[in-house]
Amino acid sequence: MKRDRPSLFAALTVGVLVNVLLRSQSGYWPRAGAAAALVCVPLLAAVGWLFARAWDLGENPLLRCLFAALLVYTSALELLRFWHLARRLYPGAVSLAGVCLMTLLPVIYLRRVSAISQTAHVVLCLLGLATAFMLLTVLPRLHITNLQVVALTGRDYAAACREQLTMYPEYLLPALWPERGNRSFRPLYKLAAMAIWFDVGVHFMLELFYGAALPLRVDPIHAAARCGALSVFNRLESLQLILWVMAITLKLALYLYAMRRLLKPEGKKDTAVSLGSFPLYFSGILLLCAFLRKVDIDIAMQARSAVTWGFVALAGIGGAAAWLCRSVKRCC
Amino acid sequence: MSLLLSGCGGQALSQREIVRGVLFDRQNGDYSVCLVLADQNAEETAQANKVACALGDTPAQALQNAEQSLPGSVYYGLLDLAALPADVDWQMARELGMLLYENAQPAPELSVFVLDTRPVNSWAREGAQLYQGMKSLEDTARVHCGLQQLFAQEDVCAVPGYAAEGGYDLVLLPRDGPSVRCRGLEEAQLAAVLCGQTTHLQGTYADGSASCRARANVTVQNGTVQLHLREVELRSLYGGEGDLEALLCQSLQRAFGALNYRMQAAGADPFHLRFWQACSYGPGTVPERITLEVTFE
Repeated sequence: MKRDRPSLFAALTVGVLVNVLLRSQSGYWPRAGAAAALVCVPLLAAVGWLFARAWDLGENPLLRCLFAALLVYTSALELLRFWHLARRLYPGAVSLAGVCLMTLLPVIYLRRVSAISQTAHVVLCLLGLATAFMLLTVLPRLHITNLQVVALTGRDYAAACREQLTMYPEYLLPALWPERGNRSFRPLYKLAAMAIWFDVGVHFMLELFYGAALPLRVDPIHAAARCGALSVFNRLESLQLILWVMAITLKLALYLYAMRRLLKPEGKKDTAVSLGSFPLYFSGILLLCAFLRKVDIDIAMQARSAVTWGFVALAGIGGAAAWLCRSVKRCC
Repeated sequence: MSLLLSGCGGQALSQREIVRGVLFDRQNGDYSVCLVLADQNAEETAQANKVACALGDTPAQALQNAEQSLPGSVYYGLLDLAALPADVDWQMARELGMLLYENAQPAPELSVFVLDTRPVNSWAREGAQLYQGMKSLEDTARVHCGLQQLFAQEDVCAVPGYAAEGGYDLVLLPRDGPSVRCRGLEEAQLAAVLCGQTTHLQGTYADGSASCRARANVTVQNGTVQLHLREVELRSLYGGEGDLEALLCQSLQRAFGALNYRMQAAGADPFHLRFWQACSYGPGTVPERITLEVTFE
């Protein structure tokens, strides 16, 4: 049973954690983030849970196509974000096509849901180890006196809420898994809590490292990791980047599996993406990346979050309408 | 993939100009920059460095001119030291720090020093020596100021200063006041300990009449800065009798009072006293009169 339907919770967790690690700029002060997390964690989990209920009640071909389009767009943005990071760190060293091939080709191996699940557990462990190792190596550079003691304003709390309420598809994907009628609030709460508290923890570490300069630094996590003095090349960047590539590949594989469930709903018991769909997938993503290569990635990410919220609202309205119709029919 | 992402997909590292240090200076209103580069043609590569220097109206222009004077493309991935001009102020330190972040893209933990007040006559003759001198100073004195520490506080930064005659100075750069160059064990090393840039005191005090070697760390409690000295070795250099511990305490307390007064006048807090005050009494409270207490453990 477990082999037929392995848990994808680890893959979802990797997906939300990599969003934190690949952040190009810090978003808020940790104190404000910790306060906002108390509200944002249950809110995001509740939204994910309500979306799943609404999806069960009111899914239709239009919503499925919209969701699939959103996942394709998000996949392209993930690749572009990583390409921008590589371009900032190593100008001229790696092209967009190189990044795409590097991250997309391993998706073929991850076409089975069992492969996604197993790899996700490995990547999650590696991410945990790499984060702990990075913390150890930069420990002498963390100064408690770098913590800022100025009183926070409403704007700081608003910025923290805005950052933490970024809607990633990972919160919506459990609605597509085949446990219909058995939706639980707890896994979503765990997912949101892990993502947001990990984010707050990383921001806290960055504040200890950068002090007042925290909002100014570009690629703050990568820059801090480069200070680690224990690695093959005296810095951890290469190993860290390989790990990030693995995490992005996993994320793309998860999105592809979700797209397959959205676009071929009749084969819901299938647990693999057919090989025949890969040429279309590769060419589609490559073309989209080439088309979007000049967009401002930060603005595009914000727009993606806004569109995702809009999609959640649309699905919620659809689900509520379907529930209302059923209730009226029952009454009649 | 690792090689590709590490930049080895393009030009080989052996064909690039590997920058180890960037030294800035100001001469007659112009900026000059000296790039200390690994000399890959030398036989003893570990110690062999060459220099490239250039002038410019701005630091960015000087840096660009120095890069253009080199035959190969410049590689900053192994940069480990930057030096600021001797007459640096807060504004210039931030400007040069941002320039390094944006143009050179080094790791933020490269060491930053301020040059000695003695003018540099020739980068070609002195550039590589200055780089080696500052690297060895960092090792022997165990003092370190990372690039990101220039920006860790909004109103002040503190940078170790290279002193050709030995030891090091500490240059305090308040945003709203003149720069202060602290010298000697009592001022410079005490300030470095209080700023969190070293945990070692080593040198002479009381006008060179005694020497001290100790490990130091700082705690703050109820308006008292407690300097804890461990593994203390005090020695009279003239063979005279006297209480060396009391003499050291007096010297450090006098220096602390003077430093604190100058920083308060400039409205800066390089020693994080406001942080400890806020930890004890909440944000926004005004620090009381701060005193230094030296404890030998």
